[in-house]
Order: sequence, then structure tokens, then C-alpha cells
Amino acid sequence: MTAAVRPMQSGQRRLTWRSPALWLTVAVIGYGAWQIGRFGYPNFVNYPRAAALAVVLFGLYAIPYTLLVTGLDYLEPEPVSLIGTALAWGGLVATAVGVSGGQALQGILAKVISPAFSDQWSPAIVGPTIEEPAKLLGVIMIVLLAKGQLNSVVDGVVYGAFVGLGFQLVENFMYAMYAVAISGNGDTVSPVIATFLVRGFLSGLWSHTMFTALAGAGVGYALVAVRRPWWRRLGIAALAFLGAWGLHFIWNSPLLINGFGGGLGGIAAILLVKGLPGLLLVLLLVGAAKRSEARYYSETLTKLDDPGLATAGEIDTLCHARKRHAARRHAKARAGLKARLLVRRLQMSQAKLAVAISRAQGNPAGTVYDVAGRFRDPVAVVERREQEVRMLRGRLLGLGISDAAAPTEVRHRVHWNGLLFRVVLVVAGAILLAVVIRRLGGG
Amino acid sequence: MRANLLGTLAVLAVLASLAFGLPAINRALPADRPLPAGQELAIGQGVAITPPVGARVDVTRTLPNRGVLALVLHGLDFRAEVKATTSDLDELANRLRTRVQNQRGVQVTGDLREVRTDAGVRGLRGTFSSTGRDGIYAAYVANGIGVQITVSGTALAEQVDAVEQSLAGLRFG
Repeated sequence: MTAAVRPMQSGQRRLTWRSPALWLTVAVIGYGAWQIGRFGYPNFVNYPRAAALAVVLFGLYAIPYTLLVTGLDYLEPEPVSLIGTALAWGGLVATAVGVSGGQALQGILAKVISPAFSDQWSPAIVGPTIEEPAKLLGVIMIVLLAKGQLNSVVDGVVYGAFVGLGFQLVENFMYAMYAVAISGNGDTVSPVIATFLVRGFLSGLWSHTMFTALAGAGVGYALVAVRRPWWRRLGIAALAFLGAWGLHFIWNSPLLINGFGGGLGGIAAILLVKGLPGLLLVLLLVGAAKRSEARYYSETLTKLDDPGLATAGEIDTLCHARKRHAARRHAKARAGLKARLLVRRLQMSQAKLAVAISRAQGNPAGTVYDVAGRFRDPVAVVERREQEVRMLRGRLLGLGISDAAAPTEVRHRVHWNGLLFRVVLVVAGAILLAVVIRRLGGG
Repeated sequence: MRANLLGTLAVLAVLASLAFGLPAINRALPADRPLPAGQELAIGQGVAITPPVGARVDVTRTLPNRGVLALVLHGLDFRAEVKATTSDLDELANRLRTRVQNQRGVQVTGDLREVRTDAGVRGLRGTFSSTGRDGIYAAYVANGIGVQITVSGTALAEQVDAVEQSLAGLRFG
């Protein structure tokens, strides 16, 4: 599944309004906004408090996801505009298509097979069959808009995850408002809170963000593994899509629904059995893709063989989030907050330098999302990044820090305390959620 | 640019088939199934109803596992929903009333009045109207099972006796 990074082209072709993909993106996002607005507006009129709370809760919910997903892509972050496009596609286009196509397929199943079959199996069949392709098209549109920007499997994961996140947020809002409407108690907030807890937390980890991240990884592989035969690239992309479809199917299926008895324990067991294997699979794939990308960029910096730009320890540190944080803490302990901030800036500049070098060596395929024309002269960009790194290095030297690597013991230590803390936090959170849901009458 | 155009058209084709193609196929297939006159239908949780003569089952809106039965009757939409409930009849009827009232363009008319099934189960029934359509809603509770029914359409006046007779025949298992 992992593949090397395919360097982005540097400036021969730029995305313009002549691109058909751009027109289609704008048109269908507009169509989706109109469709979703038609659903959302009456809710703001009939249930203003509940609708406002749903927007706030799910808006806040998006923050940790955004930080988590952007954190995956520290070395080569994606443009905000493309991330926004992915979110808008998921939240407006895929949901609008999901509603109309989903209702239709559900109706077809009821008519062709039976209402009982449709009632039992529609969520499992209709959800993945309509929603997964609709979301995957969002990643494909990103490729059509800026193929050069999607240049690693991690990038595919990131765009896929943002399309999925957009879908998840809008779908959860719709479910929350549906819960308010069918409760028949007017503009009350408890159905919103119950939906937020159940759909946001208990099933949020292994939901659309994860499914589309997996499908996006397949697109990333198909684009990046240019040395592999075409059938293998397409086959891996198809397998990743089928994986997303399968995980979605299992999650929505009525299988095991009564397999663990009633009560919160039974519900939690079903959630874990159905969701955890998929989450672990995706985390393993993402981890492998991240290591592959980090190896590529660390080799790029290593080849410079210039400790003034990056020492061996700094290159190793740059490739791991934990070590980057450790290096900043270490710098603060040695020379204060200013040193910490400078190390942070140095790390970002070194990452940008690695990306600039890879772009300067890039192959001439693909369209660059480069509205500002920043990448027109790749050699000049590399020089500018080098100057930036050397300037920061000089300022750190002034504070007595010649090497901004994480301390050696941190680099090799397993953080058992941190791991234990996270496990305790998750268990405590799950218990708290269970209590709150029971109080709200959800259990 | 040619590859971009072809890719864009391919995306458009898939999107259109999902958003418009499937609904077109769905519309082309008939949704209702005829019912033999006098046949009793299970709604769920042991509750059954004998639909008015001429009623047809709407298979797209009937959800047997969730206790929802949808019928069409000469231009009327007939929806019955059964759920286990801890609410009493007044609460259930008021919830249904609020739900009906919250539909766009719908106005609940008059107060709830008491009705009984042939077997003596107590219920509450009200009426509502919207542009060109009239409707009735009714709720029944027996042994922790609640039934909520809405019937609406342009031809309610002609069918109201048949509907009332069907509601009176509601049977709790």
C-alpha cells in the first residue's frame, strides 16, 4: 500500500478558470448548498435553539478532527483552499447526492425485493453504495483540480478524511434535527445532545472520516506509484474503495445487533466489534504511509549533507510528531520560550525546504494549485527556504543551541506514562458518555 | 486540458447517475401493491389493522421492522406507526399533535376528542388542514404499546367513513 512520494511539478501549468474541473466543482458545490439549505433552513425557523446548538456542537467537534488530520501531513501541508473544497464536497455535494440517491435506492430495494428486506438491509446496502462513491468523487475532483498537490498516499488520506469529515458533520446535523422533529417536544436541545454523544463519540471514530480516508489512500497510491503497472495501481485503488465500502457495510448492517444482549455493555461491545478492526486497519495503513513519506523527505534532507540546514538528529526529529514536541520542550528547558518558538519555526522551515527541493526535482506531470504563482521558480524557492533555515539556525546559535534535535533518550523511549494516561482518559470518557446517554434516555 | 475535460465529464456522469438516474428508475417502478379487501395487516408489536377497501400498500414507506405501515387510498396518505411506549395516551397524542403542527404549512384545527376501537381501546383523535389537503391524526395506547396514525389528502371527506371504520377495527395483540 505504501509508496514513495511523487514530487509535485513546479510551475509549468497552473489551475485556471479554463479548467472544466473547476467549473464543475463550483457548480455542484452550489447545487449541494442549495439542496442542503432547503433542508437546513426550516430547522433554523422551527427549532432555532436546537439548530444553533447542533451547529455549535458539531462545529467544535470538527476542531480535534481537523488538528488530527492536518497533523498527519506536517511535512507537506495541503493548501487551505483545497482542504475547504474537500470539506465542502463532503458536506454539501456528497450529502445532497446521498439523500436523493439513497432514498431512491431504498425505494428500489423495497419495490424489487420487499419492504421488510429494504427496512432491514437498506442502511447497510444503500449507505455505502451511494455515499462512498459520492465522497470518493470529491478526492477525484481534487486530483482533477490539482493533481500535483496530491503527491503521496498521506495526501490521499488527508483529502479523503476531510471529504468524509464534511459529510459526517452535515449528516450528524441532519440526524440531530430529525431527532428533534420526531421527539415532538418542539425546540428542545436534549435530542441534539443525545445525537451528538451517540453519533459524535460512540460511533464518530469509525465513521465517514475513516471510510473516505481509506478510499483516498487508494487514490493517493494510484497517483504516486508511477513505477508500478497500471493494473496494480488501479487494483489497489479499487481494493481501498471496496475496503471503505465493506467497513461502511459492516458498520451499518443489522448483524450482531442483538448479539451481546441489551444495555450499554451490549451496545458498547457491538460498537467495538464492528468499528475497532476497521479503525486499526486504517491506522496501520496511515502509519505505514506516513513512515514512507517521512523516509522520502528525510532522505531529501540527508542528501544535502549540510548540518547548517539540518543535522542528522534534526532530520530524525522532524519525521515524528512526538520528537518534534520533545525537541521544542528541550529547547525551552535550555534557553526559554523564545528558543522553543525558534525551534518550532526551524522545524517548519526544514519541512518546507524538503518539500521545495522535492518540487524542484519534480516530474512535469500534473497541474499545480498555484493561484499565487509561488512555485514558478523552484530553484528560487529552494534558495529562499535555505536562507530562512540558516537565519533561524543563526538565531538559535545566539541562544546557545547548535542542534535542535530531540534529546536522545526521548527519541528512543516508549512513553508508557502517556499511553496509560490516554487509555485511562478514553475509559473515563466512555463511562461518562454512558452515564450521560442513560440520563438522556438513550440507553 | 483534454484529460481534465474527460475526467470532469466522467465525474459528472457518476454524480448525475446517483443523484438523478436512480431517482428516475425509482419513479418508473410502481410503489404501491394492491390488497385483497378485508385482509388484516400487521403493523408491528402485535398490532394489526384492516385497511379500507381499495387501499394499497406503499412499499417504499412501509417499514415492517420499525412498525410503520404506509397505505395509499384514492389520493389519501395513510400512515400508522407502532412503538413500545411509557407515555400515557394524552402525552402520546400531544406529541403527535406537535409533530403534525410542525410540518410546513400545516394547521391543527379543533381539539382532540376521545374515540374507542371496537375492542374498547381508548384513543384521541384530532384534525388538521393544509393548502388543498385535510387530515386526521389519532393516537391509541394499550399495554405499553402506542399507535400513532395520520391520514391526509384531498379526498378525505369522501373517505372519512371508511377511514373511521378501519381505525375502529384496530386490534392490539
